Amino acid sequence: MKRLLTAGVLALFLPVCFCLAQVPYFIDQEFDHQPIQSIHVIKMDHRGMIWLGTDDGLYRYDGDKYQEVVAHPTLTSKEITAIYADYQEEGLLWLGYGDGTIATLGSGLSGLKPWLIEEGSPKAKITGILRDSSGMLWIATYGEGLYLHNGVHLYNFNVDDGLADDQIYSLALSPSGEVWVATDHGVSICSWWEGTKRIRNLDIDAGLPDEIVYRIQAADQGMWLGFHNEGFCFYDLPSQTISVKSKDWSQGAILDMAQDPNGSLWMVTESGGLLKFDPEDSSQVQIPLGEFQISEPLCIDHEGNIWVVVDQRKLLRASLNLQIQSLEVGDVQAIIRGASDIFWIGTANGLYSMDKMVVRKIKGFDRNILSLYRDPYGALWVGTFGDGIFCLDPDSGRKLRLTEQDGLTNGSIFSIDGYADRIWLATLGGIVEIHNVGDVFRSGNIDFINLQNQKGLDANFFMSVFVDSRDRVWFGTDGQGVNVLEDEVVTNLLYEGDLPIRTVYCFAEDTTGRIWMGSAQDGLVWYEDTLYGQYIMDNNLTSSVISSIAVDPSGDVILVHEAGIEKLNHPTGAIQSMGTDIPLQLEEPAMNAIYGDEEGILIGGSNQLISYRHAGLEGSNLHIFFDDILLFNNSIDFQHQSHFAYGENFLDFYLNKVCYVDRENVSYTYKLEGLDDTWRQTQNEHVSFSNLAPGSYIMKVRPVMGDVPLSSKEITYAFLIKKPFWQRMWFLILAGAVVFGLMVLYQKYREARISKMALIERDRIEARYEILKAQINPHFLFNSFNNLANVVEEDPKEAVQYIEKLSDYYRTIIQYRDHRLIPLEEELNLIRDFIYLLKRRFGKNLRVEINLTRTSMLIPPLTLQILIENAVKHNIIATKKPLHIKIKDVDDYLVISNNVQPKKTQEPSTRFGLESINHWFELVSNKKVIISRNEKEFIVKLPWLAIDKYEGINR
Amino acid sequence: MLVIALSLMAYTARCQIYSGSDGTVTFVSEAPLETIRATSSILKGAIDPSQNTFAFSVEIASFEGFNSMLQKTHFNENYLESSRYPTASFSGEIIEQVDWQAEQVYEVRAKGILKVHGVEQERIIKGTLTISPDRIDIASEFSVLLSEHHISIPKIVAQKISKEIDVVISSSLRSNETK
Repeated sequence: MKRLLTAGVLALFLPVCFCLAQVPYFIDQEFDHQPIQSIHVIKMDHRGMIWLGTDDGLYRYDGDKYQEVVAHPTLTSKEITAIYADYQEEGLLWLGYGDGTIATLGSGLSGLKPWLIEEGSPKAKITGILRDSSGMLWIATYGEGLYLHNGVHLYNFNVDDGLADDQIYSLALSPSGEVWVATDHGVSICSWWEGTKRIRNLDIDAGLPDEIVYRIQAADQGMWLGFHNEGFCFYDLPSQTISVKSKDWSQGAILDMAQDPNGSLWMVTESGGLLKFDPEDSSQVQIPLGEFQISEPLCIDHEGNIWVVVDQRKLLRASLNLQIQSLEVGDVQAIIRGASDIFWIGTANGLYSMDKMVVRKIKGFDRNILSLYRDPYGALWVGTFGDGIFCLDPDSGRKLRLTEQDGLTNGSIFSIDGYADRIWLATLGGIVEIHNVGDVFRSGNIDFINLQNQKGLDANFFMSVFVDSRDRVWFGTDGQGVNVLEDEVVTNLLYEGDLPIRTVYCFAEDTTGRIWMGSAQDGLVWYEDTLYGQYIMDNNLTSSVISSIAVDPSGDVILVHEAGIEKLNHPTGAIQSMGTDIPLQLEEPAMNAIYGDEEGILIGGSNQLISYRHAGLEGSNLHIFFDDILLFNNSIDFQHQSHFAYGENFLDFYLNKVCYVDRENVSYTYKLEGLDDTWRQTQNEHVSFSNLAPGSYIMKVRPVMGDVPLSSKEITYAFLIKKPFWQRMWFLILAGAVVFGLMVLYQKYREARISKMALIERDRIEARYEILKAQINPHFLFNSFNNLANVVEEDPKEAVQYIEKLSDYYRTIIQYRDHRLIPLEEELNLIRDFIYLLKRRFGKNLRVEINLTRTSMLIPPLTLQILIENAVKHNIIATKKPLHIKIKDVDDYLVISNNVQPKKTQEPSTRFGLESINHWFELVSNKKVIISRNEKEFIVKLPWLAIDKYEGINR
Repeated sequence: MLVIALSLMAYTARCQIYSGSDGTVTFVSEAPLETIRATSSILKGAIDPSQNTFAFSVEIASFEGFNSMLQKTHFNENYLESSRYPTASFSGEIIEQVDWQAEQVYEVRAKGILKVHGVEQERIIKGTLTISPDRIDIASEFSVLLSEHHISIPKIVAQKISKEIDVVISSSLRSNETK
C-alpha cells in the first residue's frame, strides 16, 4: 500500500523562517578584591594564565583570584600598554608602559623590574612587543617608530628609515617571519637581515581599503588587517593580494582582533561591539553582551575561551567549545544531518530544516516528531509519536506517510536506523524491520516485518535501535536489556552476557568500535566484544539517567541528562561538567536530540540548540603547575635550584592550575617520593613539608577531576637535601685518608723505634758479654786471688772483707747487667767495691778522686768500671809513678781522666770497651762521647744524661 | 679601543650652530689581566639645534695614556690602524625634542652612525645635554664592541684587552654667533 503525497517544493519550505546565530555565552569573572582600573591589555602566557595590564599595574587571573604583581621599587611606571609572553624563555613576560618604560617579569609573581639597557628605554608609549623566530625582540612605540634589540644593541626604525609613520598602533609577526606594524599610513613590513634594516610599505596605493590600520592579526596564510573606517581585510601572503574584505562596513574602527582555533575572526569594534566573522561562509555576527559596553582588549585562550573586557574594567569569559542558540521551535526531540550543511530537526511541534544560520519549518509535518533517519538514497524518515512514519524527499519535496494501515504494528516510532536496504524501527509495538526498501519514492513497495517474538526479540517496548560500523544492529528495550543482531542471530546481552543495563535509551560507537549505551537507571555502559564496563553516579556521573550520547572527534563521550552535559574521558574516567555556567534548556532531554560527527556535536534542548565543538588548541586543556616553591618562607628559583644544604628542610609548595571551565571540580593529589608512598588528595593549593631528612625527593602532583587523578598531567619537582658534611662521601674519604696517614706515620715511627731498640738491645747484649768476659777476665781474677793470698797472710780479718767486696762486686755486676741505664750513684757504689779491690792491689799508687757537684745522671752500667779498668790496664802504676784517676762533672759532661804513663808492653786490647761506650751513648743521646789524649792525660767525656729526660729508656 | 667621535659636518652658516674642539674622550678596556685607559682632549663636535642633528669626531692618534709607549704604538698600528682610518666619528639626530632656548638639563638619546676603524654601525647613544646661554655641555657613556667594528684581537692578548670597551665623552660646545 502506498500513499504518495506530492507537494510543491516551494510551498514545502514555508512560513516560519528565521536567521539565528550560534553565540558564546559570556560570564562575568567577578573581581574578588579591590577594583581594577582600566584594563588595556589581556594576554595569555605559555601555560594559559591570564595577565591583565591596567592603568594601575599588572594583575594575574587564574580563574579564581586576581593577584597584583608587585613591582620592584625602581619601576615607577604604572600604566601598562603592552604585554608579551616570551617563547624563548618560558615564563618570561615583557611589559610595555605608557611612558616608554619596558619591564620584565620572570616566573612567579615577584621580580617585576625595569629592563635596563645601555641605550635607555623609549620615551613614547609602547604599543607592542614581540620576539621573532630568529630571537630578535621588536618593540613598537607610538611616536618613536619601531625598535629592535638583537641581544646586544637597540636599533631604531623610523620615518627616516622608510617606516610609514612613527606612530605605531600595533604589531604582529607574519608567518614568513616579518614584523608588520600598523600606522596611519598603512602597514610597514619590517625585517632585519644581517644587520640591515628592510622596510616595505603596504598602503592605500597597494590596494588597502583604508589608510589607517589599527590592528593586525596573523593567520596561517596571511594577515588580518583591521581599519579605522573600512572594516577589515585578509591579506593573502602566497598570492600577495587581498582575498577577503568586509562589506558595507558600518561598525566604526576595529579596536582589537583575535582569531579562534576554528578560524573565525573576533573583533571589538567602535560602534558594533563584539563581532565574529567566519571566513568559511563569510557570515558576520554581532555578539550580544547585554547591558555591557565592550572595551578594547580581546583574547582567546588555550582552553577555547574568549575573554573580553567590558566597561573598561570588567572581565567576561565565554567558552567557544559550547555555544548556544535560541530558536522558537519547541522541544527538540531529534536531530540528523542531511545533505551538505543542512540539519533536520524534529520537535514536539514539527519538522525544521536548518541551513547554516537559516531555520525553516517544513509544511505538513505538524506532528510530535520523535525520530529521524536518512537512508542511503537521501530520503528522510520521520518517526512520530502515534502518527506513524513519514518519508520525505528533500529534493522534490515529495512526502509519503506510513501508518498501522500500511502494516505498521504501532504508530509510535521511538528510533529508526538501518544500513543498505534494511531499516529497523523501535516502536511501542516491538521492532519492525523493513526489507529491500530501495529508493522508497520509486519502488513504493514497503513490507513491514514485525520481529516481535521472532529471532528472540521478546520485549514489547523498544526504546532505541542502532546500527554500528560492523552492521550489527543493537536494540535497546524498556527493562529487558540490550539485544544485538549479528549474522541474523539475536543475542540478549542482559541475560546471556550479564551486561548490567536494563532500559536502554541511546547508543553510540566510539572511534575504536566500542559501543556506548545510555540507560534509564544504570548510567553509562560500554561494551567491546565480551568486555564491558559501567559508569554510574559512584564514578562521579551527575545523573544515572542518560538521555543521549555522542562521541566527539577526540574520542571523549559527550552525554546528556537532565542535569546538563558531561564529557567523559575513557579509560581515565575523568568527567568534566560542561556548560554549568550557561543557561542550558535541558529539563527534558530527548533520546534522539543529539547528532555528532567529526565537525562537532549538536544537542537539542527546549527552544535551544547547543553546539559543542572542541575549540581548544590542545587535546585537553587542564594544566597544573607549581606557582611558587618556598624554602623557609622565601621564594626559590625552582626552575634552576634543586639542591639544598643540610638543614634546608622546610618547603612550601604553592600549586595552581589553568582551568577556567568547571574549575571547582578540579583538585590535586600529591606524593612526596622519598618521604612516603602515599598519594594525598587536597583541595588546598598549598602543601608544606617541614623537617625533611637529608635525601632525594620527588614531589609529584596530579590534577584530580572528580575523583579521577590524571596521571598524564602530572608535574614533578625533584630536589635533594644534602647530608651534613660529616656524612658526605668526600668527608668520609678525607677522614679515612687522614686516619690512614696517621696510622702509617705511627707505624713508621714505631718501626724506627723498634729497630733502634733492637740495636740498643744487641749492643747491650754484646756489651754485657764483654763485661762478663771482662769480669771473668782471668787476669783480674788471678790478681784478685793473688791479692787475696797476700791479704790472707797479712791480715785474715781484712781478707774476709776483701772476699766480701769481691763477691759484692760480682753480685752487683750480675744485678745490673739487664739494665740499660742506672743512676750514677748506683754506678759509683758499684765502682767503690772495684776500687777497693784495686787499691788492695796497688795501694797508694792508685788514686781515684771522685769530685761531683751533682749526681742526677743516668749511665750505662759498668761504664765507669770499664774506663777505670782500661786506665789500670794500660798504665804503669808504681810508687814513683802513681796513677791518678779523676771523676768529675764539667758542664754537661761527666769527665773521667787519668795521667798517661803507658806500659812498655801493652796488654792486647780489643778496644771494645771504649767503642762500646761510645756506641751506647750514640744510641741514647744526640751528644757524642768525647775522647781526648795527650802526652799527659787521657780524658773521656760522657754526655750528661739527665735523669728526668732518660728515665723512660729502661722500659 | 674605541673611541668615539665624529666628523664635523659642513653646516651652512645660516643658522646658529654650537661647536667645539676641545672635548675629551676616554676609553677604558678592563680585561682580566690589564686595564688600559687613554684619553684624547681634542674631540671636535657640533650641534645644529634647528635640525636636531649633531656630529662628533676625534683623531685616533691623539689618544694619550696607555700603560706604555709600545702599547700606544700597537694600538694605533695594529688594532685601530690609524694611518688608514685616522678618525672615529658619530653623527646623526637626537631622538627627543629639545628646547634649545631653555636652560635645562636633558637626558637624550642620539641615533646615528658610529664610525670606528672605518666600519659604520647604527647606534642609539644616551647622553646628557646641559644647556646654558651660548653653550651646551655634553656628557655620555657608552660601550663599543670590537667585533662590531671588525677590530680583531689575537687570542693571545685577549686576557689583556676587553672585547667591550667603555667610552666616556665630555664636551662643551659654544654658539658660533656669539663670537
